[in-house]
Amino acid sequence: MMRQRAARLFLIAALSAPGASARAQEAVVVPSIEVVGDPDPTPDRTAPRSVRGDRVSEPAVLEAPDGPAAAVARLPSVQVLSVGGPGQAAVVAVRGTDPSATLTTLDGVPLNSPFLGGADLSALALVPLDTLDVVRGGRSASHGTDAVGGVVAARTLDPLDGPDTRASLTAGSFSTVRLKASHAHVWEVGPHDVGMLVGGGLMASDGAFEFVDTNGIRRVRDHSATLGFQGMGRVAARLSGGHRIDGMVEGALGRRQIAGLEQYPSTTARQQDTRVVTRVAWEGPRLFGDSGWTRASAFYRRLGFAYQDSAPPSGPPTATTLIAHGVGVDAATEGRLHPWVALGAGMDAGHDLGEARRLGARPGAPSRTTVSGRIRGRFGPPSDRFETTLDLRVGWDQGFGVRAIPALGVRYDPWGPLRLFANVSRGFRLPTLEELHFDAGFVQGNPNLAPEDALTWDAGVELGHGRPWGVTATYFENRVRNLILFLPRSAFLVRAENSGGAVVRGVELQARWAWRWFDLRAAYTFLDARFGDTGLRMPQRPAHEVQGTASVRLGPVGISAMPGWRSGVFLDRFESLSEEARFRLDARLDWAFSSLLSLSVDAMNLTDKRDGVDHLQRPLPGRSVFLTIRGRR
Amino acid sequence: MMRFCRSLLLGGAALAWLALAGCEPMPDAMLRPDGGGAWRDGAAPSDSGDDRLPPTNFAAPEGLAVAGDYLVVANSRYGFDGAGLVFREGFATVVDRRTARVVNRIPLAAKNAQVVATGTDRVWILCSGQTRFDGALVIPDGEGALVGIPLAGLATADAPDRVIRLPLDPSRPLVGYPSSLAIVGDRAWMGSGTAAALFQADLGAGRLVRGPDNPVLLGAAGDQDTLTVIPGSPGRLIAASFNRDRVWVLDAVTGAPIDGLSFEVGVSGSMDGILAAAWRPDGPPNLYLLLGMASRIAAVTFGAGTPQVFGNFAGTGSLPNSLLLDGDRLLILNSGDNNVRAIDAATGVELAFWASLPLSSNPYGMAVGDVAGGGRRLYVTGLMSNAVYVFDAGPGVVPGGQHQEIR
Repeated sequence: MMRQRAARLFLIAALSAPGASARAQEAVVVPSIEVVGDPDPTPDRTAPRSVRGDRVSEPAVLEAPDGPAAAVARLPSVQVLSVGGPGQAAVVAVRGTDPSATLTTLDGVPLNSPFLGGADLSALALVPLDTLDVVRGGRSASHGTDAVGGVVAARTLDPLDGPDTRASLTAGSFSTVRLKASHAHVWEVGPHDVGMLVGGGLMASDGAFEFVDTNGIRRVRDHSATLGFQGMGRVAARLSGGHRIDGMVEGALGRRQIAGLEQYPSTTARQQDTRVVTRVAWEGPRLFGDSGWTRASAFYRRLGFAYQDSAPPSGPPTATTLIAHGVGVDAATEGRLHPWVALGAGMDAGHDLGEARRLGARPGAPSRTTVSGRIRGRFGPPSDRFETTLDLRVGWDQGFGVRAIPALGVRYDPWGPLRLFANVSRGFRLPTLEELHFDAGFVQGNPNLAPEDALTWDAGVELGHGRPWGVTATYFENRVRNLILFLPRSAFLVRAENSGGAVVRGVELQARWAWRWFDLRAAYTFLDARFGDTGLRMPQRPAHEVQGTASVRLGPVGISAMPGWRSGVFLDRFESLSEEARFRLDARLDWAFSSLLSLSVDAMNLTDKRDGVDHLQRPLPGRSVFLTIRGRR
Repeated sequence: MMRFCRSLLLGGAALAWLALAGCEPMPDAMLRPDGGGAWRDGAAPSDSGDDRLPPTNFAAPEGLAVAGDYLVVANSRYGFDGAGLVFREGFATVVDRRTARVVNRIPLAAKNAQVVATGTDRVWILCSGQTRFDGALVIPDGEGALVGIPLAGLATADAPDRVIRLPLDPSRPLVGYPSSLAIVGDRAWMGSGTAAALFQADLGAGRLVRGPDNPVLLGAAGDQDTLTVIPGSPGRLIAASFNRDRVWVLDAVTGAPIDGLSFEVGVSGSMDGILAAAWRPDGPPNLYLLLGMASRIAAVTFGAGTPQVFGNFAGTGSLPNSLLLDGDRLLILNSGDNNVRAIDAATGVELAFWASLPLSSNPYGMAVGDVAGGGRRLYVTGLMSNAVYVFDAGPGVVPGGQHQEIR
């Protein structure tokens, strides 16, 4: 298991009584003391410990100038598909799936767009994040639709971890400026603790960058500016009797200029994204058994997407607005009935209501309701040397009937640092509302689509569990049926169809070593993703990818080098168009020059590769440098 | 405290809701007619006074052909008016290749001029007519026409002197919209862009021999398809289906398929989409097929037995649209990349030659021709830029971005 988090202890001889006007003593900065522990090995609390996952929690990484997507890009089997440039869209795909088959959540609220599928991680760049967890493998048994490849769970700062005040200012390439701030405070109210967190941020970037196009011509990528705002408030209370309640309101607005295709650039296309997330949750003691827990939550989520182009390179003016309202409730409980047996049960329900409006087309209001119940059994001795987890979800999805989603996980620790694990599960993804109902004349959705259905499994070994060093090797497979693709029906018409399916096989290798002031991490992923019908490779899935981080920390100064290499990929379904292999070197310098302030300098794409393209053959930026001043108290 | 927190949450939620509720731009409210989008057409927005000719020399130019000292370009004049596709009467632009100047524009009295081919004494221009979309099928919505202009009168003609119309047949609603042209002797074969049908015209007599009422059918008349047709070996015709990735060798007189010479190309189970073809008499290979959806070239060698198909003869760039055999090399026009690349016709190996066009020009068709002094020129139409680009295509020359622009 990789080391998830390192805790640093700073001794500060400052006294400050809450609400008092006590005089603070002079702060004394002493060398940091690293405490290496084995934190919660399963980032996703709902996931069995046999499931592979990683947690990103370092502020400098979470707040990387190129957004949260970059924070997870160095993890095995995680692929970031980005448009390029600060603030532009970046979606994540895990274990060779599509972004729409990777579920992203914010404090448990699903962020995948019911219309478009997937979630734009760059839209979380201003959120005061505490952790970003990536769980790999099919998680539909616990999360429902979209969690075929895995789950990316973003968690905001916990108000009850306060007092905590943070602010960061980033400036750098492409005329980018980003300001984030948050404040958490805790009050003791009788026997209870009440915490409140407020935070927000803004970001602006000109976005223009130089690149070399397909024809070898040096050009400037214009019309790529972004502007974003975000704000949130969160209140949590720890009540006597082991209860906790939590409430959150979060909103974000992002505006982007869309530069268009490399050879057909746009100077008029624009996009606006909005997000409102409200959530209330309660956590309390077990309902049965010797130990356990009970949870309930409800959310409302509104995702808005608006795209307009008054003068596209070809065709009439276009404008589309998609608004998705979603509500959901979830309740679950688990109790240990026997030293070897814990049982749990839960239910969840959700409703999505969409509003689709297009210039020149009739408005639509698609909707969808889902209801499911689930049970869980965890079996294993009190010594915790092994554990078997069995999940079963039975769900009804409006328009698609009832389906049972089982999952089985096994973990065995035969000897201290050695862990063996295996998981198998069924996964599914409901068609998005656009895949079902999209109609732009010659490109159409298909209301008769069936959900994608997958069998996923993995197995592996971890050596160094609980140690400052470790190696993990995992083999995995995803076998997907009814893969949804937009396919040509003739020379004129393209329509969403359930194609034959796909098989994705892969190997993940992770290694880590921490020694005094030196930290080394590496991840290698082998991916063989092929269409079932033709046996041809799926586009945008590199066969080989290596990511590494080598860090040195000497006192208050830390230097990290982050090389990454990816083999060439095909850009189409026929293995005809390809993008060459790509090497990229990033670096970071951190300097904590006081207990309150730190400075980071991030340099990305140091080799200044300017002819790379994204999954839609749009250019990616060359070298960039950003400076971040970070304050925390 | 709890009431305060609850109030804060509710208030914040309400504010957020109100703020964002008014934030989404709605399509109906924007892009009003007075400022609502550009007229995206080969014709300029002011192209409304004269239905026969626009004020510009080119209007959505597509096919072109070299005819002696002239270059003849077919202007389709299709575009978008508001939200709908509009087809106007096409016209031919005649360019003097010696001076690179437009010397004549000839209205064609037929819609959607797409293809140009040079016959013995005339230039023939295929006007496909217009179509409508019923939500599932593209249906011909007007007659097509094959018009002829005498070679001797290209610089001065004000109209075609031969017009062979292809009226629709109501009993075969998909059969029509001729979109590919092959001239074999005094016969013209045309492939339908909407069905698996071939039409034939007698160029000498100037009459339609097989039209939409009695086509050569290579599939069900009620199924959408697109046929590309080119001359093959002497006495033979090549027809290829976009939807089925199937090729036929036909008798050039009767249009009847030759037994044993029908085969499929491309990846089984997928629509690779045969968009264009080229015949090489000095093969092997003999036949090249541009698979537009698959972005590659398939090559076929004909011998004594079954034709040998090399499904992955060469790759192309993005959104390939046209193919042209030029001596020992095959020129490939990539609309998505705004360039023309070349491969060795015998081996499929990519050659150094490349010609790049300006951004957003959307190259559509190409032609090559020798010029006085031993040079050779490549001519490429820019569908969205309303221009023709001229490149030096002499032996060993790599023009890159250097070109002459004719507007």
